[in-house]
Amino acid sequence: MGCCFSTEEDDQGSHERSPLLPDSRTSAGHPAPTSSLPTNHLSKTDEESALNQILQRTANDVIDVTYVEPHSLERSELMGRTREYQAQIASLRRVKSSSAMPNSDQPPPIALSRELTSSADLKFLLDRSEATDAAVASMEVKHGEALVVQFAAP
Amino acid sequence: MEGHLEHQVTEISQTPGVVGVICTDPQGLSLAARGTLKPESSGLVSGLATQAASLNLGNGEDDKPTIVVEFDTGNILIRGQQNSTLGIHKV
Repeated sequence: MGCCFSTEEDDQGSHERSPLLPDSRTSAGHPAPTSSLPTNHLSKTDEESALNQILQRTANDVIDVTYVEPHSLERSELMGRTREYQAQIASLRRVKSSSAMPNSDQPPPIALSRELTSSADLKFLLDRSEATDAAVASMEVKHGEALVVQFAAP
Repeated sequence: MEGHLEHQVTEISQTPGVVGVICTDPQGLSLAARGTLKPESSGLVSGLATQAASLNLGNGEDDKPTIVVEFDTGNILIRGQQNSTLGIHKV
């Protein structure tokens, strides 16, 4: 797109009279000083076509949600989806609440008689806690600097 | 010094199935912590051990209880001793 003389000159590259910012000059309503009236008119049509292309491309890229939604969703379908979502949420809540109390659906004798923790785990904990306790008991606090310091002494 | 304790706690944390370890003093001060059990929970671990031990009325103070807190993601085993409380998170 050019504003000076013809497109052939644009293809040939820049010369001493070609504007550096052809688009901004023509869009601002100030024609280039070297352009005559017919050329200016031609550039304006080129500019309009370019603007139309940009407009069309932008319109293709934009998804108008407010335009699409009411036509694609019927009221009955909306209600159906609402029920479906609510059913899904309710099922998720059931799963969450049931997992918060493991084995709560078992009969009480089975649930109460099962072994919570293996004896190996309990022995491991007992041994390790005794070893850790001995390590804590053997800890000593040693001072690295003088405990009494002369403060503001002359 | 605390090198022996650090070694003990690191060894526990490297045991298969263990994802967190914490060791506190009887007042709830965190002495060492690894993995999922953070130093911020030292007061809770120590408090659970102390409160559980206080349930054992008249059976002598040396009988320390073992506490198992059951979660979906694993168990936290807590055992209080004379000078420390140990918490282990096992999956």
